[in-house]
Formats: sequence, structure tokens, C-alpha cells
Amino acid sequence: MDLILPTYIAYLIISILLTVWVARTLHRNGRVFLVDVFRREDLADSVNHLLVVGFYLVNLGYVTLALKLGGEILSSRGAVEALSGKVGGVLLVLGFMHFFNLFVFSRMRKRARLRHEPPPVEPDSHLAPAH
Amino acid sequence: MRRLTILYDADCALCRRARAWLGRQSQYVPLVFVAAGGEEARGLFPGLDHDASLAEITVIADTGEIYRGPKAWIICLWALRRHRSTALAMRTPGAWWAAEAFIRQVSKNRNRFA
Repeated sequence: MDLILPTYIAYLIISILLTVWVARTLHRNGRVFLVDVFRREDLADSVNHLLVVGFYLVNLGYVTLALKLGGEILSSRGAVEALSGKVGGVLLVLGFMHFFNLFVFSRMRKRARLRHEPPPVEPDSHLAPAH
Repeated sequence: MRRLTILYDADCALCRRARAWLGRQSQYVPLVFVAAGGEEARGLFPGLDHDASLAEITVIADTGEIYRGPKAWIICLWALRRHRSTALAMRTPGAWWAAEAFIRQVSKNRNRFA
């Protein structure tokens, strides 16, 4: 009996659950970074939401693209091995996207801080106060 | 600090090129360029030592701070989006010492670079 359909279904369920879990983690914890960068909560929430949408698009896109399996699945062992291969790929892509997001947050935060840095040197003198 | 006025040596080719380059850069703080020792400079800053501003580049903030020579250069970099982090690296004494020495050398020989 070809177990391909149960394997596909298991793959989709596992992959989608993992994607949702990582996305929610990013959404919840990334908010703090964004509030720090944008100083406004409504703007931070807006950007956060937009980033999460992008995250879902890329990751669910990969999950669906990577679904197709070459041969038949004729045993449970075959099913587990096929599943582990596919889910492994999904986890790696999720991991990459996760770190990429952190990198983007960190860069945004660094650039925002730069804007508020005072001059690194003291002046040599001052103008007399205006008359 | 909302504006920086840069008094530069208009007779020196290197200085004019530097002025053009600074003017092209994306700025956090707007830069305004005025020829050092000229009528406009004397009119804008009556209390300033204009002879000193001919010897060394002088930058004056709208809040009244005056920076000369190497410090003026660091403030210019600080005002630029792409180079503010370089300017902030000058907080390290070693980096500042090297930058200051380099700027003074170039400035002393500026008329050799055309």
C-alpha cells in the first residue's frame, strides 16, 4: 500500500504548525525591538505585522514547494525517513529566516540609535551669546 | 544642533573638492558652506577670529559651538549619515590620535594636492 498521502498530510501538518509557532515567537518578541526603533507603538505594531506576513509567505511558500516526493512510500520506515528529510528542510529554512529577521531587527535598531548619538568631540570654543 | 556652517579655504583646490564631496553626501545635520575670511563669513560671525579660520577649517554649529581643524572634520563626518559611525569611533583615544595626526599633516600640505 502506498503511504504517500498520509505522509504528505503529516508533513503539511507538522510544517504548518512549526511555521506558525516560529512566526508567533517572532511576532511577540520582535515587538520590543521595533518599539525601541520606531519609538511609536502603532508604527511598531504595523511594521511587526507586515514582517510577519512576509515571513509566512516565504515559509509557507517553501513548505508547499518542497512537498512533492519522488518515489512511492511502501513502509512506515520509508514514511518516517521521507518525513524527516522534508521536515528537516523546513526547519532549516525557518531557522535561516528567523536569524535573518533578527539580523534585520538588529540593524534597524543600530541605525535608529546612530541618529541620536551626540558629537564625539568637545568644541574648541563657543560663540558669544547673540545680541 | 540643527545646522553646521563650514568655513573653508576657498583658495585651496583640495578644500574645494572636499567641500563638493561633503555637499553631495546624505546629511543628518544640514551643512552650509561659506568661504573663510570672506565678507559673508565676517557678516555671519562678527565675533569670530577669522584669521584663524583661514589657517584651519572651522565649523560653527547653530547652537554656538566652534570646532577647528581635526575636530571640525570629525564633526563633519558626524553630520553625515554614512560616516557617523566612523566619527563615533573617534571616541577611542588611539583612533582619535591617529586621525588628528593625519588630518593635521594633510592640512599642512594641502596646497600640494591640486
